Amino acid sequence: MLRANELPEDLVIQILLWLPVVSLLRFKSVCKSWYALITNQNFIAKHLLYNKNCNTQLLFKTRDKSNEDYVVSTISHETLQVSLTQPLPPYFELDVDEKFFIFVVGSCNGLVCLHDYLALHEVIWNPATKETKIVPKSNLPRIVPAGCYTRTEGIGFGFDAKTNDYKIINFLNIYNPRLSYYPSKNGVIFQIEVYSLRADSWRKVDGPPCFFSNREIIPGTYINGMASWAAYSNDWEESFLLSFDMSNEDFGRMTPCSL
Amino acid sequence: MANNGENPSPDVGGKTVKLKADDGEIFEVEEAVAMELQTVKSFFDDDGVSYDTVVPLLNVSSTALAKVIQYCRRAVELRAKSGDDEGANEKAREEREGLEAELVREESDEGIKELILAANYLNIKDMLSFLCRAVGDRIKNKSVEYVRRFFVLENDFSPEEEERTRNEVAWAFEGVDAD
Repeated sequence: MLRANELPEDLVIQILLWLPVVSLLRFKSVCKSWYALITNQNFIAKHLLYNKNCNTQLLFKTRDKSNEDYVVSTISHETLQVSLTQPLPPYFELDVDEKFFIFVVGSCNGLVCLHDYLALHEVIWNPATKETKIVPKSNLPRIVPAGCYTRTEGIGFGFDAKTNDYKIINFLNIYNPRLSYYPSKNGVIFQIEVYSLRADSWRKVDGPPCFFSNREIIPGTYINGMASWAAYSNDWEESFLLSFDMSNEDFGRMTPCSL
Repeated sequence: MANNGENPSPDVGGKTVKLKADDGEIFEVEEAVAMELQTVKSFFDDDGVSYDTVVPLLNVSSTALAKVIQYCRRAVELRAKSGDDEGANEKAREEREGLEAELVREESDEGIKELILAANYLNIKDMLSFLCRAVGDRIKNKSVEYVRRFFVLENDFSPEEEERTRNEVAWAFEGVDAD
């Protein structure tokens, strides 16, 4: 029975949808019905929708001059204003110098995927709720010639809307430490692995032969369910855009038009 | 006819509609303004309801109704001002935001809740939206206790449960406004 001036639940929800995450997390303690309301998946999805910023911002990692620590911030394309700066999540209890080797793979729906280049694994991080999930290392078999290692050449993070799942795709190449550079053959993608957050495990997928770069890990650009990378055919003859559909797990090729 | 002393009599050039608040007070409002209240619009959309019929708004106090009418009247005027001109639109938008801010600024917690319930009952989408946002702004930095008082909610957690819930996100309790 509602007393006078007591707001019904649908109006409470309309008010809660305007609140920032930190307030919502605090108000879970108001009472049991509010706890249930705020942790409800439908409410969380609706809140995300209401708060999706129309202005896409660039996410980047940098060093905070005042305390020399590494932070992640967003910068607006239009105004170049930096905001939402946060230190790397506490999981990374590394020396500041080791934090140099953490980089941002990508982000979507408020989640950020970080890659630890030294420890060779990823972390999925929600900067708003401060939750982190350490992605287990892949235990898929990788059969490489003696004396060689696998290395991540390309990496991507995205959302599969069909199964409401977040995925990481990892393109591995074979690295031969005896050679000081990669001849194109050694740089070719040797195995592609996809991690599903729901399954909390990695799976192999087949993709077209190509490579991205010999020198560094190339993070994919993710938008609307697809991640893309600039890629090259094995013989360097062709350059194209390789795309990966997070839902179908299909690869696509697009030849960029000549300018 | 009764009329809220603060509002001047409408210029009865066009059609008007009579609205009755919960205490029986009658407000005579221009048709265009009355139709902002979707509940009133639906009332007249029914066949055979004459515009002379007094609309009974049993769940709205005269105080709230007066404010709603005042807001809707200004909103209709502002909407008439905006058109194709980008500059005029911008100005109208600013004026509307000023109007919204003015409505909530002086309002007590009880008053704002009454307005939300009225806007909800009368089905005025824009008004309900900005009122919810205003309440959100009002409470976002407040303590859990403040929110319980505002929404008249009982704490049904046991002390242990509450402690555990708070500790899950201890950092979210930093920097909260003093009650």
